Amino acid sequence: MHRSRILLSAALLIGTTMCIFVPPSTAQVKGQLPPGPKNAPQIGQKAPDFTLPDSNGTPVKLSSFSSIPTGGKPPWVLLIFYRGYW
Amino acid sequence: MKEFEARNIRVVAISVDPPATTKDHIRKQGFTYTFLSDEKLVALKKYDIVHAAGFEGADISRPAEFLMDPSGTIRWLNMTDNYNKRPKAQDVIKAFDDLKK
Repeated sequence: MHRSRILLSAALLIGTTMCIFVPPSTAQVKGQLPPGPKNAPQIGQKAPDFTLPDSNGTPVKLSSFSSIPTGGKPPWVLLIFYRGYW
Repeated sequence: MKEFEARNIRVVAISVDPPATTKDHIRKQGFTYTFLSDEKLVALKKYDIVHAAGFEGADISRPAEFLMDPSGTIRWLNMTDNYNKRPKAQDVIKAFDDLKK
């Protein structure tokens, strides 16, 4: 009877310890970002215009891409925002 | 890239890297599309995709893609919760083709 009590206590102790130290499953996924942005432009809205320098330092306006026809028609524009810090 | 050019889609990449960094990167990787530098988070704030202190304490961009038509209207976008999950070029091409139907 004594022995089983010790075993039970040990099991309880180990069980409790595991509950404390097992890391939560949701937190540390690699590459995880904070929750999504709330004010990002939506489909159907106009893309906000801006002027930024290109890799040569020349200022470029976003709306200017649409007005440079390639092959005779104004193009669609795919904006890719990436993390940087190569 | 040829699939984008064939569909008359201009590709523009933006990050907080300064022009000198992207120029070097383009040279090494042989990219042919336009890279813009948003060191002051101008466009990033307008598109609400700032990842505050996302890299060694510095504000950087959340990865995101926006496809807009010639009028400047956003027709497709992609935001991710994990920067290891990025759409492939084929995903964008398919979205474009679906929109054009």
